[in-house]
Amino acid sequence: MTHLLLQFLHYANYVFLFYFVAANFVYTVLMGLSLYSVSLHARLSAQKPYRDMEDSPVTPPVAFIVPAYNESEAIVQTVLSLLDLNYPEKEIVVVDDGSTDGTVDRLIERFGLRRMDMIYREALKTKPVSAFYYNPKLPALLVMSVEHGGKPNALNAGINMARSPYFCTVDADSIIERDALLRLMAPIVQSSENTVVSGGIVRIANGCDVAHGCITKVDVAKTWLERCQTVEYIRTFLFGRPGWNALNATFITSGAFCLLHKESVIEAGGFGLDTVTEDIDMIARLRRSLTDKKRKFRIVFTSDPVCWTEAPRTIKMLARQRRRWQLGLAQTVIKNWDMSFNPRFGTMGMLSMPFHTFLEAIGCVVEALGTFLIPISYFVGAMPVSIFLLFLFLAVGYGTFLSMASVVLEELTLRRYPSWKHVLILMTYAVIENLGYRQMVTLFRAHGVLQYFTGRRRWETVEHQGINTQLETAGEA
Amino acid sequence: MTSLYTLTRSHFRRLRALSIRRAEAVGNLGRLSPRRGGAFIREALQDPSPLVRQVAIAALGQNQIPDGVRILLEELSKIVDGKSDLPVRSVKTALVRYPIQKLGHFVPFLNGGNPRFRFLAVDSIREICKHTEPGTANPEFPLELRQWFLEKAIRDESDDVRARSAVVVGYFRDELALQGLRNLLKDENEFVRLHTVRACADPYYAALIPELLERVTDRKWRVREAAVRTMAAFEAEGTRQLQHLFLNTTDRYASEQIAEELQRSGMLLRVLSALSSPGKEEAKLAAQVCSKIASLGMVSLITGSMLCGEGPLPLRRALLDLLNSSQAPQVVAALQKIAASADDPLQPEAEQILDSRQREKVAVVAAGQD
Repeated sequence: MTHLLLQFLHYANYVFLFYFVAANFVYTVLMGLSLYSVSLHARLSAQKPYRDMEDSPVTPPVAFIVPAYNESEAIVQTVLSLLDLNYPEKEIVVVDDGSTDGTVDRLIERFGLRRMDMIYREALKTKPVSAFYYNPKLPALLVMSVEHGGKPNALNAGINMARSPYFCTVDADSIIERDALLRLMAPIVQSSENTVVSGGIVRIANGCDVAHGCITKVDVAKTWLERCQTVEYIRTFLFGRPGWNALNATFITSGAFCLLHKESVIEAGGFGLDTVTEDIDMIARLRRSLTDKKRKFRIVFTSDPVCWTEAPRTIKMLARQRRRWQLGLAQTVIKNWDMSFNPRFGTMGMLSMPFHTFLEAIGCVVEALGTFLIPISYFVGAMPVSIFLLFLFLAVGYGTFLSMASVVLEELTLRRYPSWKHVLILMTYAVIENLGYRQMVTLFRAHGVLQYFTGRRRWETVEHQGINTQLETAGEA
Repeated sequence: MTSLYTLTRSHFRRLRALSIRRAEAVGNLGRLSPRRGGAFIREALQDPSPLVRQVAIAALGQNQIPDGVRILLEELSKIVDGKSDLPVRSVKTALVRYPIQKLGHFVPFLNGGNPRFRFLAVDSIREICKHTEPGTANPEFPLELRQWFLEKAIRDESDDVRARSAVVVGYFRDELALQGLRNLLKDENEFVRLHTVRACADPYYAALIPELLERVTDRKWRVREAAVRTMAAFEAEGTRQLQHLFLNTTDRYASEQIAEELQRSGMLLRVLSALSSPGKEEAKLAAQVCSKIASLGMVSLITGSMLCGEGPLPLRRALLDLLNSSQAPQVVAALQKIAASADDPLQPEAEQILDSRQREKVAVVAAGQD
């Protein structure tokens, strides 16, 4: 029995070693590509190439679609930040997904909305719409209530009412920077290729001051959990996504802030109801739809338009969030398994899809097992100390290096955190993040994959306290 | 060897990382005066890097060097012919920054064979015209270009060219323009009719009201919606004609479209306020409009105004009288809410209406059993 166990550990260690080497190799390549593209982009952005778009009639109109379920704490600030955006022509469609906490009442009160009856044309099939709210003096804003059907259904309902050729998905607890939409639209306007998706960066708003729908002071969050998430977001959005974008292999754009071409989305059937991460699923749907129609297209990620969002403040809520993300990723990659290693889908099919399937979706299970079995192997003598140290380096040391490098990249290019104190805190937590937090999140992710294979498909709600609750007296609510 | 060197050098100069400094330089030099910056911009337009050329194009729009329009239109032509890798929108963004006085430079380019180029050029002219006040564009608009629009553009084979031309023609504000728009309102293409309807949103074109009312019953909803909105441009006469059509049409789609626009524009709230003065002609028309809206089931705004705290008492009483026979669930719910509110002055009337309905229901059930 002992012999069998040692044999098992021996072979398992090979699997773990392969996983960590492969994952770190890919992260290193992505890091190199990201360093190149983010630095270039930051230099170009300093020239503000989008300033011509500010008042140009050629800049396409955009509809913000804000699905909201029980977001009474944050929804007003979100709408205020959208109304305040610097953009020539925009509309805002808030889709209330059957809220029970007075979300719509908050909007009616704040914006003087009246209930009206409007014609609802279903380009995409949705659950019934029960009401529309509108103020003729504020024609850019429309609120609609739909029967509770989840976020994808709410998004599809919003698409049906949107008039603009492009729409931007925004989470109901998000604050968008004033020029962010111009920067998000720039790759579409300034490219000769048909760009159907432009994704932006999401940052953690916890700890920041908010007033009148704007971030008035950027600060680092107060608790260790939120600070670890801050570093994690910087790493993901400055290393992972720009790297894939440089390879034209973007697979994930955050639904919290993403610009999409409406007609292409409608042709792809709208947001799917069969996954819990409709944003990841939509990219796959679009790629498949446009590739089948043999249309040239581009999906891009831009590293400077910023959306600030609230991160979970407790471990319980963080667990729900990461389980859902991982469950959604598993659903999407398995649903689209035929895209992996399929040259029809270009670098996305040959590189990004296999990476997200084997190293991200399934790989987290390997990593979670390794978290326990590697130390056990060492302590039972199944692993020499040199290999154990190698694992420590690959699993913890290299991750720390990547996190610290991402903080440095952020400071060299985008500089959203203005003071040296912030940089020191972020560098400290770049180390701390890899000593427990990352392993904890890996376990949550593995649980999400397990949920997929045990047939669980339910959306787990993450409760928010609201970004503006930190300053109850600042601004209007 | 020389050719290989030139090719390799050109290839490297295209690389983004190596062209960024040149792009930054062009961006800065482009901010000089047109006399000084023009030479640098022209040089940059020959750069092998699309990034540098794109910055040069943007600089042309900001700097507005004397032959800038010609250069941009040539670039646009290259894009349409597939000989340039620059984006159309970047060139258009630069082009539409030029003032109306520069439109004469478009003329030599408009008789070419490529309909897509003509569409992009006409669309750019349309955007340039939008920055000027209607009517004041007349003396500034080049005569040759004006003739081209009135004689050729509105009859162009391309639907897109005709559609965008309608908006430009709308700025001319004369008899020929009116006749041109009248013809375009009957165009077979939906988008031509749509743009023409929008172009008519100017009190000068009040003579086109009959044709616009026909478009309110267009088979395409976008045209119907635009026609309803355009009628608002004719103020009292437009509103009156629209309400008259609304009351008399049996076209359900047109009726719903008008009802929606009456709500969105705020017109319905003004109509409702007329109900507060019974006996006047406006009140009679308002009552008819409200009844028709209620018959379509679009009662939300009306019932909302009926509830306590939402409107003045005479208005609320008038709405209560108007809707006392409506079976719409929202009306019934509003009546129940008023009847349940002891402080509401309309509580006795609402209660009476509900009691009367209950008695009728009982009588019907009893008659059915017999």
